[in-house]
Amino acid sequence: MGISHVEHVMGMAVSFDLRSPLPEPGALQDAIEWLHHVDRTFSTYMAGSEITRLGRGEITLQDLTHETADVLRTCIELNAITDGTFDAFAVPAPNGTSLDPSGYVKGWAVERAAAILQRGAATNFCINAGGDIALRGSPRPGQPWRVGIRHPYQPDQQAAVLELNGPCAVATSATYERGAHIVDPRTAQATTTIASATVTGPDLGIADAYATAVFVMGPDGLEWIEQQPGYEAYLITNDDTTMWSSGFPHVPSTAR
Amino acid sequence: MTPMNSLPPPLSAIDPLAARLERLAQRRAETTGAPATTPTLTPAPAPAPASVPAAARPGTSIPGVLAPPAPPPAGRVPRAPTSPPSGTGRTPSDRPVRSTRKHHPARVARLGALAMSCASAGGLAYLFAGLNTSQAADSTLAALPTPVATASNAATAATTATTPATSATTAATTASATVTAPATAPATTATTATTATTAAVPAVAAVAAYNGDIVDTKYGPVQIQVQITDGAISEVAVIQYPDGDGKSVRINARALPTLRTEVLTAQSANIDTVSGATYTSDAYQQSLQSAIDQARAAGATALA
Repeated sequence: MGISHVEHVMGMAVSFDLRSPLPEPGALQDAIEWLHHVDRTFSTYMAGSEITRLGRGEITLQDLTHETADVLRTCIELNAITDGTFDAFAVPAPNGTSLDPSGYVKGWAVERAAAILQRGAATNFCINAGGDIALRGSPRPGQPWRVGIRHPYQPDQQAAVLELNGPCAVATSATYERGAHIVDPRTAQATTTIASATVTGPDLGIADAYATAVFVMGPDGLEWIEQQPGYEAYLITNDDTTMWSSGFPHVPSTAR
Repeated sequence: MTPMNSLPPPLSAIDPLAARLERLAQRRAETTGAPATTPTLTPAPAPAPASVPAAARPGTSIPGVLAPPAPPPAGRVPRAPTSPPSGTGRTPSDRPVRSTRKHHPARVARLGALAMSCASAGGLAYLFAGLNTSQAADSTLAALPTPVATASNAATAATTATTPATSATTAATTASATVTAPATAPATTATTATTATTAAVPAVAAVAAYNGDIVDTKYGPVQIQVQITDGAISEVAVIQYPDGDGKSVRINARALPTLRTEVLTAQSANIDTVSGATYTSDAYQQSLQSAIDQARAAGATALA
């Protein structure tokens, strides 16, 4: 039947929840190994990671693998798409540098992990990487995945429940867990308007970056996300107002 | 792992990555006084443009990203009457999200209970035995009276006993599963017992109960049990109430039953997974996602 596994990697817990058999069981281990590889390469905590060394100037563009360079180029494109509100090159990183692509890398890595499982013929599964989620198929025949969005101030409450059919991604950007500020890269000031920003869409890497962008944009981010095909957003402000884009797939409270 | 040195020489002139890395090096030099090490000569480019070609938009051709699935339905619905930023936000949650002000006393009592749960590092509803909590359980279990089975919870009304202190460490590593069986079920037999429980019911209905740690709150020791049916939290019971001084009794009488009801109401949304801010591995141990994962793990074992 199903397979359930929790892997601690990239400083977080990654939950694999497979609801149907995995025809090629080695795919799960491959996906786990992939995440550890990404951690070693992109960690902003490890002194020896490629990203830390690049941020410190110990290596240059010519030393980068294609994979790392491609990720950074994608971050540059996302910086343009998000009007500068997502910026991997201008926010303080834990390693003391200003190079931190984590806001895209985490989702990108999990999206790739989902692809590895699919290559192993997995069909119905969920990967939850510290609150960012890649969904495939369905949890039960004919039923959508039901995804709770944690309320920022009430850990045992769901601010909203979404119903989603895979493939789909959900990413949430907020400060309540780790206490760190989210900095507006345009002003270098910490943002104060939003308590939690959730983005849904087809790709978890992009959704991850967009969640950061919408968090920084604040309510204006809803107008912006309407222009991003396939992506929707849900915001909770610091004064407990909730708002969402036109196609956000949450379940009305009366229908739960 | 091929290096990028096969690219044409005037890389920094045409490659935005080279340009950004150069700016990064310049900033590093400004802040540390160290010389910029990026060996490029191109001046820093202008800031990124506010608009980008459609080809760079998501859903088309962003490099390094898997091909996205089917595009969204054609003809987006015109923007719904999305709540304006000020004040009138609708909320899809069961209860008003605007919750921290001007509520009547019963609400205050509930919030007090919720604050109590937050103060005990994670929330009463899912105080599952974490990897690093056995020492606390060891120290508190011996001093506490036998937990009280809640009469309001018929499914768990059978003598649900606390895992013996001597096995608390084991419980922490075996998802602390105490199956709702009539007798005390040591954690080490949880898998077997779960199988026995589910054998009599349809294969999809795996029912198991999980006892959280006994947590010392400012009101006294509290323990929660969560019953999980087929991967969803179906029942929450307070199996260890604070007792002692009058304040705690008052909390008992008013807040805890309300808390239990609220927790159950919230969790009965029957969710498969939770999205939220990235939590550390330590915080994960106290999270609802951890509870869901434990339930899935137990179900997968029992149904294999």
